[in-house]
Amino acid sequence: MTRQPILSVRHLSTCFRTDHGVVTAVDDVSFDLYPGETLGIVGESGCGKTVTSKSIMRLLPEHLSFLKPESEILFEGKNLARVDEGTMRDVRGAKIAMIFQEPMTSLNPVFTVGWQLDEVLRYHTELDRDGRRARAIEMLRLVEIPNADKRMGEYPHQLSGGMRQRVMIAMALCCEPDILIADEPTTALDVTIQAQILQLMESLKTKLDTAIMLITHDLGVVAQVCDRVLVMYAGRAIEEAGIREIFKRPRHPYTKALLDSIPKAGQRRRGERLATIPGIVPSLFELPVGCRFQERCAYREARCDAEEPALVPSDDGRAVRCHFPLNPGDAPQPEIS
Amino acid sequence: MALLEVRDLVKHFPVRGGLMNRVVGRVHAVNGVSFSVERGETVGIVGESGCGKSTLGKCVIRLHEPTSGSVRYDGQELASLSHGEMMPFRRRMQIIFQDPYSSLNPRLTVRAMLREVLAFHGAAKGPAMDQHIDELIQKVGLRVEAAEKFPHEFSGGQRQRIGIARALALEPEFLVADEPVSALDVSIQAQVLNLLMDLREEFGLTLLFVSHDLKVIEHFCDRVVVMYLGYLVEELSCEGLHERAQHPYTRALLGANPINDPDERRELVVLQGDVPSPYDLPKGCPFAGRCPLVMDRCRAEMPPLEDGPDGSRVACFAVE
Ligand SMILES: Nc1ncnc2c1ncn2[C@@H]1O[C@H](COP(=O)(O)OP(=O)(O)O)[C@@H](O)[C@H]1O
Ligand SMILES: Nc1ncnc2c1ncn2[C@@H]1O[C@H](COP(=O)(O)OP(=O)(O)O)[C@@H](O)[C@H]1O
Ligand code: SF4
Ligand SMILES: [Mg+2]
Ligand SMILES: [Mg+2]
Repeated sequence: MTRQPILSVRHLSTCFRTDHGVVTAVDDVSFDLYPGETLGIVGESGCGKTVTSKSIMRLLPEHLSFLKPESEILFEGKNLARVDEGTMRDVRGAKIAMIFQEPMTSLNPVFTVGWQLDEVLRYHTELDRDGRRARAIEMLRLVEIPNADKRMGEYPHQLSGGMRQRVMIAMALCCEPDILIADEPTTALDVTIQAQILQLMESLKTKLDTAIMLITHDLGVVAQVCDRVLVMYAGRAIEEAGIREIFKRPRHPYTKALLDSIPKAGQRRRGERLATIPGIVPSLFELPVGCRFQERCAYREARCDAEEPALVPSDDGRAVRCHFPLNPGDAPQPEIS
Repeated sequence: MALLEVRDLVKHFPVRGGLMNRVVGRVHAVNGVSFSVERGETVGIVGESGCGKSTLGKCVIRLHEPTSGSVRYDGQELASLSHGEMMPFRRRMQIIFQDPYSSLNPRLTVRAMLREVLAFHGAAKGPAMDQHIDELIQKVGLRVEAAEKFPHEFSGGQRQRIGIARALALEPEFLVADEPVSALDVSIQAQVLNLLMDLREEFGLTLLFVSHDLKVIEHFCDRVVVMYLGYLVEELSCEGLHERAQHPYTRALLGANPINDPDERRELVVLQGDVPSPYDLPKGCPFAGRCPLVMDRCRAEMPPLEDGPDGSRVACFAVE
């Protein structure tokens, strides 16, 4: 079975004009998103996760940023990198929706929950007033908000953090978008509330058949919900693989080091040192010649300093950007059911 | 005798409001917590945001005045000490914070900041002081040149190292570490945790380690105190934590944490509802509103904290 991707990002490069010159925050990133799947995008802060998602949504300030001309964001036969703002407005919310780490950035503090849901529905649907109200309440129920009727009249600040995140998910999903981009949706939440939201996203994905792009720096969350993973480092995509392959047989030294550095639950050895990645991520203003991970890499050789490796796809559907990948000729791991 | 003994510690914050700015309520941040820390031990405090972890940590070193209860350090009751009498204890007890940036003076270089700390306590003078500073900077894994830089010139992980250097400048015995790695990326988190483990060894530190991440606590601590809504609900050894934890809240925390292994994917334990408000405490068990094992009795009375095997304690009617 060959599936058609619902979204194809090709050679996405997003640049910012800054006081110190132009930086390329996302550098030639390509990936596909398939219907009904959850794609994880992981990497440390500053690696370009949010800029990637805002580029797709065209939410970056135009006077400060631009996409390089070769960038393509292919969705429903259009290149979103090129379409006008009017077309984008029809896509945003209705076909591709986004939720953020801090719900208050997308909830308006001076309007009630009901008003904000109504606004999305007014813009994107033909429903009349009663229809919109019914739909809004239905959505709040769907995201398991108790007393949905009553909540409609409340303001965002009257809700707890977890509740706000639910309202935002309700807003994002009320037009049944094809794609949900969730940017660190649980990072600011406590772990018991995170579990609620992850479970909710899972069940909504099944119910509404939405493709999810889940951005996170939490590998536990990735292991729990993603089907495939794209790892980013300093603006580059450095590895892409299925969920089990990434965790069991990582090929990029950075992916492996990242996995090794997390304390493992239930495998306590008090005082045992954790594996670390020495040093820090290079600044976008002082990127090295050669591999961007070279300074921190345990497998570095002369070639790594001289020449940047390309992201090389392999027959097994994986891709890695490293001159000396680990676990090279592995058989693909069976998929998780 | 334990190095630190906390008994029935209570901390309420008055809430003011209205035209007269009168006290209209109280935040019950810490509600009668007792525990002790042996010399050389690392005790973790875990719980969700707002459950009183930081308040407890600050009361212990008297950055907050407790509303009631007792904090004994090395046999001395701290609450009764005057400002001057407290000074020697301030040298022995230090704290590091989650956000090192907000706790560092942006206008001072690292060296100037450390000089200030040392001079204030009359700890060293002149060249000896600068030599001490150089050593300290290297101990926390920075280059000596770092001493001449300002806080904004450092990355998050490096700033946390500076926060640690400041806390260690006076060679304390006891350290409260309040979410020291929570704001850091995982790769940097591991670096800072390793550093803390090395320093703990080298200085023979006793630590109270606050975190919302049970994985980190399990790795780093000897024992853990679990808090919910300002109450201590369970205390147990980190050895065999997953098997031994009994309180339904601790079990929920363990079960809600995703495991870093796609092959061990499981239904996450999902608690209904939110943490109740610390303004009006519920009458019975603080966890009753979200507990999967709740019984009528739990809503009516407060379960006592009972001793269990191996020095563990748990407050729950459903635990035998
Ligand atoms: N408006 C901006 N101007 C200049 N640089 C920016 C801007 N927004 C983001 N960046 C830079 O782009 C890089 C990627 O940022 P981001 O995508 O937010 O990272 P993250 O992976 O943490 O989401 C960072 O180095 C950041 O400093
Ligand atoms: N200075 C203060 N004034 C009023 N309320 C406070 C103050 N500090 C903390 N609180 C409240 O006390 C409770 C416990 O807070 P805190 O100890 O910071 O929790 P934690 O560190 O576990 O997140 C919270 O409800 C918080 O809002
Ligand atoms: S290319 Fe070289 S430096 Fe870069 S990750 Fe691979 S081995 Fe390490
Ligand atoms: Mg981001
Ligand atoms: Mg705190």
